[in-house]
Amino acid sequence: MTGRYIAADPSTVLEDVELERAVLAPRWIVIVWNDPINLMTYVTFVFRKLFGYSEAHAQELMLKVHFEGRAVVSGGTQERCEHDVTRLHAHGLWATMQEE
Amino acid sequence: MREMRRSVVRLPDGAILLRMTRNERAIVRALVGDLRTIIGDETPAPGVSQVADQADDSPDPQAADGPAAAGATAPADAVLERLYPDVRPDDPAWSATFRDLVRGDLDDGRRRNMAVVEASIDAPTVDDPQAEAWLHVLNDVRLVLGTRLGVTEDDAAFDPEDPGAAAKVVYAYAGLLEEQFVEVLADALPDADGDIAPALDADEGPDTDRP
Repeated sequence: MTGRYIAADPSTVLEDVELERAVLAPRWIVIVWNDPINLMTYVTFVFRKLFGYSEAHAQELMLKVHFEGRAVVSGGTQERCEHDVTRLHAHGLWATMQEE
Repeated sequence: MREMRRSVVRLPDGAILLRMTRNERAIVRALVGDLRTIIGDETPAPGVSQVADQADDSPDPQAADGPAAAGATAPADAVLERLYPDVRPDDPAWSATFRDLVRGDLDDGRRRNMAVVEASIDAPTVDDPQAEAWLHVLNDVRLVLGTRLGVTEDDAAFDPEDPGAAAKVVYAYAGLLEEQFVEVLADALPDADGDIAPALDADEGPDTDRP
């Protein structure tokens, strides 16, 4: 949504308020942490299924989780990340989110 | 003597064959029953302490019958923390509120999956949605079992005298079975370039457009 906004100080006219907000809004990221229980093939499968990642990309992320302990698997608005984290939890992955 | 064989096999008609013995199915049934005692039939009201609720309303999962119960050592709250992790570890209060919001949906999903597995526990074949439910349930079961057993990345030598030995064998079996469900279902996922695995086309009749 776009629109003109006259601020309290009338000399300040913002175009595209929503765009401005989107730029200023903090960006969130979703992190998957390594755990000793989930199977490596299962984690790759979940990344492919939930995010539509290619097998190669999903495997790369899984290996990052496995060897580095964590990987950023998605990002965006807070709502988007809440959605992704919940889906990852529904699949039994250990996921958290934080401001970038 | 029997030859090693796969337990989960994609058939040419697209169905997924479960080559499991009666005993193997009995193990899975017991594991689902154990998981049910943890998830419960109803999600606790928001704000109610999970651990207290567990003690009041559900059978103690550590006292449950079945192979999953043997060797259980970790407290129940570790299991619940693993099933419902903090979304924002930097903000426990926010995480608790968020968990209250979504836990009902997570539990509903888990209950639906358990119901599907129980309904198809003796079935010779399952379809893809049923197989996904099996995969979900096997993974949840391993999260519970593995958390109780304190499983780590390092493969400690198997000790038959360990009181948790039986549970470790069941945990290993559930992992082998889960791996096979993953393989069969992953083969059916489209890859990012849009290719669909052949298994999804297996049910199509003769295609006259093709040579």
